[in-house]
Amino acid sequence: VPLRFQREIGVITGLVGAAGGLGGFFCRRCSGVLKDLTGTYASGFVVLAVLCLWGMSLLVAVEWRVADDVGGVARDHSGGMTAQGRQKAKRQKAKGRNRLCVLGAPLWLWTALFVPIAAVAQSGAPSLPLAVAPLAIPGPYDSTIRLEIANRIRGEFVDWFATPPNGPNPNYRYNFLGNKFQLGVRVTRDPYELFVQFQDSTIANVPDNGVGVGSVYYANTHASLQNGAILRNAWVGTKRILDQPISGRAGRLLTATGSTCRRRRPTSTGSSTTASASD
Amino acid sequence: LIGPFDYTHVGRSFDGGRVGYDTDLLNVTGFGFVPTFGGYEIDANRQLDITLAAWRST
Repeated sequence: VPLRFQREIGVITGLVGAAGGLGGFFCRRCSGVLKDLTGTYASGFVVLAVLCLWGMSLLVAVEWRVADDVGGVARDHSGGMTAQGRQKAKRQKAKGRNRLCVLGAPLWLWTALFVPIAAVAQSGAPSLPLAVAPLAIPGPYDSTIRLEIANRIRGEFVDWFATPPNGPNPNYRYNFLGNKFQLGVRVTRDPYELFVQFQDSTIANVPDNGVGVGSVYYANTHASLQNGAILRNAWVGTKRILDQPISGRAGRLLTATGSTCRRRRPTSTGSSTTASASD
Repeated sequence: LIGPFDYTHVGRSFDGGRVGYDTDLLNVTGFGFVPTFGGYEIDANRQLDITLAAWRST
């Protein structure tokens, strides 16, 4: 935001926050209302897909309007466009097309995602096959041994912070690719638990002259291709000690404030129950 | 202020331990950690030169 909107940073930050807040509030409300009205979750996803298409159309309209305005400025006295104006408009349209490809990609992706989800929801399938069931086998002393595998590949392609060509930092690059692979073994025997997790991270095509997240990776290691393996988790813990609600973990672990609190959630009978919020 | 940094491609871990006491009326958590670098540094095994210790109750 500060790179793209240097003077209007307060206003834009407020608008971005407001849009997120409104989306977070209205989307789930509308989804609930649509589910009640139609009896299926599909209706909510269809609406989201339509909204994405509408956003894409709006983006196309705005980009071509900008290109036309640029061309219009550079017209001669007879109303015709000068050679310079034509070139400028041509460049602006090409830039607009490039930006459409970049900015429009998430909208198309969301549309492509929501439509099949809506179709599956409409078909009444109990759940989506988006996750593989954990691989678990019984272990010694009534324990359970579970293999946990996860891989996340994420590309940073959208240059939300593009600075103008004549701006203070025009020579930049933003996009890069990152992959995080995790392999863990969890042994549980209530109330005890043991967890060991290995992680391998690879970051490719990190910009050495960029702005944004990629340049921070580069600043630490000064390499465009980075790979590292770490022991992300290696801890033992218990959920109870001497039948008291005392929990504990020791070793290498992840933590966040309040992670030992239990979530209070209502049941269908109206009473409350608790569940561990720990990872 | 210091969390697992999971939105990066590396993340951050904590070497130490934590203890919690949790009932419907009271939750007390205490911990002591040495965080690892992680975050945007690919070699995340190194430990930061700080020690964190805190407790909270609600």
